[in-house]
Amino acid sequence: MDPLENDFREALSREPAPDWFAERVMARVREQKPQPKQSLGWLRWAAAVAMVVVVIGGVRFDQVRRERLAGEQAKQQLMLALQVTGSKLHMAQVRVQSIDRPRPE
Amino acid sequence: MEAGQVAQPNVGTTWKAAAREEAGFAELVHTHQSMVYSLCWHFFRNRALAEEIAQDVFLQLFRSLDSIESPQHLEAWLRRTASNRCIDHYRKRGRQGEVPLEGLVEPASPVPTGDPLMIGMVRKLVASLPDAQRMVVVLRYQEDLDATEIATTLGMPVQTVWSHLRRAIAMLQEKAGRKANAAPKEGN
Repeated sequence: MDPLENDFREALSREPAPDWFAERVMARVREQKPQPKQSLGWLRWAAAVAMVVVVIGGVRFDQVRRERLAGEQAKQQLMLALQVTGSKLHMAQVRVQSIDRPRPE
Repeated sequence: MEAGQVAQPNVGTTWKAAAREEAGFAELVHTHQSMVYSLCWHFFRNRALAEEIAQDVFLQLFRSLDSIESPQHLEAWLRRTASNRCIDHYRKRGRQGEVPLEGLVEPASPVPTGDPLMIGMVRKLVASLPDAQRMVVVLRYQEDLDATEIATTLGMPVQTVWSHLRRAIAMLQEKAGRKANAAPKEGN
């Protein structure tokens, strides 16, 4: 092996971390631990509220949709009834006119 | 045990569950702290800065445990994260965090068995390289990675790694030659 490479390997060999290193990392990890729990609590509440809003919104939407459908059906029935009435009136008018008209001799 | 090969805690499917526990994570830090700290130290040659960045790497690991798939992935992840953090920090803050190389006192940690003068000189020369070249050299000789592994770690093409390595070695040889030539003159 190239002596220069050997020198590099030797000079850049792994340095041991200070004795307190792991303890300091763990102290910082412990500081961080409660945060995810808190944020999870908020997340749970937010998810529950969102779910209630979605359910109530869904029920209300369904109610409105049903009411609108019923209204549309009633409107269609009314239109049909008016059409029927109109056509019957027209027939009656035609008949009346035919009675009034003088018959050819 | 060879450089780059470290004992893996809790090898198997339960290693991640163990790492989520405090004792398991502490064991994981113990196992990899030398690799992570040393990458940062060889890059900055500043103990306080190396320690701060190495701690940040482990905190990031703690938050990212879910994304780690295996002990092998963990080691590669630590190497990549430490390298990128060092380079990012250097580029953001420039050289202000570094200790001047001239007159630098070598650390009291156990020094390799070779010539201490040569070791000190090589370390100083490596620390004087541009950031990307320096990290390539540290990964090559501290972690014993080949060009493909370095390319994966630093997210750069293999050809770029080779180019950095060639330039770095040429620069180191040139600087070492200049120092060697200057030494007898200083002696006169």
